[in-house]
This record gives sequence, C-alpha cells and structure tokens, in this order.
Amino acid sequence: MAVANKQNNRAARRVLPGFGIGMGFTVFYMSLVVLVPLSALLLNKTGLTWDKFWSVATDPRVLASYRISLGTAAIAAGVNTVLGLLLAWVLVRYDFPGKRLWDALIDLPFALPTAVAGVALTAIYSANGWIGSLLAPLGIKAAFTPLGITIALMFIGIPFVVRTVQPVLQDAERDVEEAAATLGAGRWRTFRAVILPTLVPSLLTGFALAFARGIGEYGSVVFISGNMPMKTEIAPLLIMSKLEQFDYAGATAVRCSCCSSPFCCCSALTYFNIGRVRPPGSRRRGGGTWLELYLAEPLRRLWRRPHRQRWRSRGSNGAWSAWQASCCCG
Amino acid sequence: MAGLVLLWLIVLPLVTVLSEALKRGIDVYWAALSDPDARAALRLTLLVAAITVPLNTVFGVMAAWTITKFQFKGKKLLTTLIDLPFAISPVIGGLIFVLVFGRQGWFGPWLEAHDIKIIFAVPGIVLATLFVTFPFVAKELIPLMEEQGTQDEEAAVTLGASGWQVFWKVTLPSIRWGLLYGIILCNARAMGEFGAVSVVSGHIRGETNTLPLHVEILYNEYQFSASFAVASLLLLLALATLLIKNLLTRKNAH
Repeated sequence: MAVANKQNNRAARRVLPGFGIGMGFTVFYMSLVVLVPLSALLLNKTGLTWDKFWSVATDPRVLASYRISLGTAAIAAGVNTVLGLLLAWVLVRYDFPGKRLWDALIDLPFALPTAVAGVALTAIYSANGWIGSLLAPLGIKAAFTPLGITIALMFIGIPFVVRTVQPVLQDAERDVEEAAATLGAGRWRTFRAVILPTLVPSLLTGFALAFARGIGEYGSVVFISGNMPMKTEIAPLLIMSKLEQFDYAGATAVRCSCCSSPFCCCSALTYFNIGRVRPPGSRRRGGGTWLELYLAEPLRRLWRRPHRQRWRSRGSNGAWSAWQASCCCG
Repeated sequence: MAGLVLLWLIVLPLVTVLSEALKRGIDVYWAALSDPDARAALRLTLLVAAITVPLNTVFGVMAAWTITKFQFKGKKLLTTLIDLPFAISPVIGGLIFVLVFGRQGWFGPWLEAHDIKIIFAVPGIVLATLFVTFPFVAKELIPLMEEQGTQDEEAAVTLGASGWQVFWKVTLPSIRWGLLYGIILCNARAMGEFGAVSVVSGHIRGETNTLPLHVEILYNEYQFSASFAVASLLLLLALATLLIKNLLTRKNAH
C-alpha cells in the first residue's frame, strides 16, 4: 500500500504541471509579504541592549498592563465557558422558531469589525447608555473599568466556546443519557456524571481559544477601556502608544517580552490551531492541532477515564477553521 | 435563559449600532455618509480590498495547488509559514512594516531620498492588509483540495489536457464554493481590519483613513451619530458575510 502510494506520488509529480511556477510564486510572495517584514522584527531587537530590554519589560506600567490583559481575559473566558455551554446546549437540544438565524448570529463577533464592536459596547455601557444607566444607580461603573474590558472580551470570545462545544454535543449519544435516567439518575446527576465528562475537553479548548484571543485583542477593547495607565491599559495598547511616541525600540521590547511570556505562546498556539498537526500515534486523518497537542491534550490526560474518551476534535475541520482564523481581527 | 444571554451579548450590540446611527434622524445619517471624508474612507477601503483580495486569492490558489498536488520536502514547514500571520497580533503586523519602511527603518532613508511614501500612506495600508489577510484563501483551499486528491487532474493530463485546461475545467469547478468562501472571509477581514492598519495609516483624513479608522476618529471627536452611521456600513458588511457563509455551508452540505 505504502509502496503504491509512493509510486502514485512520484507519478503525480511527473504528470501534473505547475510545480515549478507554483512553488516559485508561493515562496516569492510569502517572502515578500510575510518573511522579510517579520525578520525585521527579529533583527531590530538586536539593536536593543539586554539592560534596556529588561527595564522596559519590567516597567511597572508594562507589568500592570500584563496583569490587566491576563486577568480580564481569564475571567471573560471563564464566564464564556459557562454561557457558551448553555448556548450550545440550547442550540443542539431544542427546536424553536428561528433557530437557524440564532445559530448564525453566534458568529457575529467573528464577522463584525472589532472597531464597530468596540464603539457599540462602549455606547451600551457608558453612564448614559442602555445598560450603563441601569448600573449607574447601583454604583457600578462598567465602561472605562476592567469590568468593561471583560465584557468586551466576552463578546469577542463567546463564539469560540459555542463552536467548539456544539459538534461534540451533537455527536454525544443520547442513549447513554437515557440509560442513566432509566437506572435512576436524576437530571443533575445525568448531566454531571454522563454529559459533562464528554464535554470537558471541548470546554477546555474553547476556554483556551477564548482566553488567547482575549489577550491579543485590540480593536474592541480600546474604546471601552479608557486606556488609563496602570488601571485599564492592556498590553497591545501599550505597544501602540509606544509606537505613537516613535519609541520603536520600546514597542519592540514590549512585544518581545510579551512573546516570551507563556501567555503569548498560548495565543500563538491558538492561532496555529489552524495548521493541523498529527498527534504522535494518531491515525486520525485530519490530525490534531497544536493547541490540542500542547494544551488540551495534557489537560485531558488529567481528566482521563477509560470510558470517557469519546471526544473527536471537529473544531479544527473545514469551514470552522477559517472562522477561527477570522477571529484574530484584533 | 439562553435567549437572554444571546440577546444581551450579541443582539444588543447589533441593535445599538443601528439605533445610535439613526438616533438623530435619517438626515443626519445620510449627512454622515455623504461627508467627503466618509466617502474618501469608503473609497480607500474598497480600493485596499480590491488590491489585496485578488492578490491573496492568486497566492492562495497557487499555494494550495503546490501543497496539495505535489510531494516535496518542507511541505509542513511551508504550511506552517502560511499560518504565521494568524499567530501574530495585528498590531505587530503593522509594526513590522513600520520597522522596514518607516523613517528609522531599513529602507527609510532610501525612500525619503527618492520621495516615496509607504508608511502613513496608501501602500503601507495595502501591505499591512495583505499581511493580515494572507492565509485566508490558502487555508480554506488546502483541506478541500487535499480531500479531492490528484486523480481527476491526472486523468485529464493523460487525456491530453494542458495545465490551464486542467485547472479551469477540472480543479476550479470542484473547488469553486470553497474558493468563494475563502474570498468572502478574506474580503471581510480586509475591509474590517483595524489594529494593523491603524499602526501604519497615520490617520490622515480623506487620505489614509479606512472605514474602521474613520469610525474611531469620529467617535473620539464625540460625533457619535456619524461614527455609528459609518459603523452601520461595516455592520452590513458583517451581516452580508454571515449570510453568504451560511448559504455556502448549506450548499457544501448538499
């Protein structure tokens, strides 16, 4: 079989035209648009001494921005995991009028330019906005506080959780739940002992995707955050303000320190989610993803129970992957 | 309960954009859209999309053809490199072009001597948009063409078809919906990009302002109705994208 395949491949190379021009154009265009500019980032950093780099990277204002970015993204992703599960559950398990429309609307945060999301959310939560005016008498300020940032990140992150949980829930076998019910399990117990364990991996993946997206988010947060240094200034914004002061070295330093810290690696993994990698020993055709390999897989191992392994990753297949891609509209 | 969550999280922002845009009447709305600066921003956004989408489409088709129809060393590396722009925050995507073409950048002095402007001008915006929308079409086509294999094309070639004929008559008909889908996504991102473009544009009204940047400028000047009027255009773009996406997925399913 393998031999036949190899011969096939060799034949394909000989028979089909266009390898030279295709390869040449691909590499040339990619170098021009992506590789050469990116190398500037790496080479430019060398103009920076370690001392300067360190002082910029550990500046209190920079550290505060990391804290805010991480904290709000974590809370938003956590809330989204619960709400996303709820939405996915309703969309999969119930029939109601206009279901298709609601289902399509879940993708709106992916499709909406982030600047539009930003101004809309700020208008809603500012002191005279629809929800902001309800919160104001209670003494809660939403816009221009970390709460506002969290809400913006919730808007951006909700489709990740719904779209990762949905296919798994669709594939879950209802018989098992019915069996649990006939064996005398209550609804809560059925949910906790039968349904939840099959969903945990996809919930974790959804959480990680939403979290990583939240860290890198720029467009929707600038407006609602108010950008007060030390209080509501997020990391991407800091890069931007350093750029506006033409402090290129500083911007690069923030960028690099940001990249070397684990959370940005996590966001990189998320985006690499689009590139499929075959997990070692896996015979699945589509293969797993970077995120599954390095983040979800270890977490899943923690949860592993022999009979609970029913998870198939569909999050990385077909159309959905492109939507994940459009996620990085920061 | 779930309905409330959906209403609160997703529908409320959508309604807000429309209601804020029309709050001060349809006249104000039209005035905002027919403002010369808004027109210029719309023109620029369309221009940028008209340049970047075809370029990235050609690249996407070429790259997908190369990667899926041939075996070669470094294929995995190439696929990963195509994904690279997704792994990089858009703000960084803008920053790298400033580092290359900016005043203190590699080509800065040379460009200045020859009086060519790239950063804070249209070419910079085009480059940054090219960068962020780079992988869309390729990413959409690669899994699709992988699935279809090479047999049809090989059959066509043995029957005497030329390279072009194979592509137009055999490959293209079978990937057209996927291709269209990739183009739609690429276009939505190209028109809606904010982070990367905002770094390289310089925000010169009427000259280097795209629609999302125009929304920001108007908003920061407290011209809320005008800002939301422009935002509503982008909202329409998003809704159209969603609609076409759903039509295409349904078509693919059948």
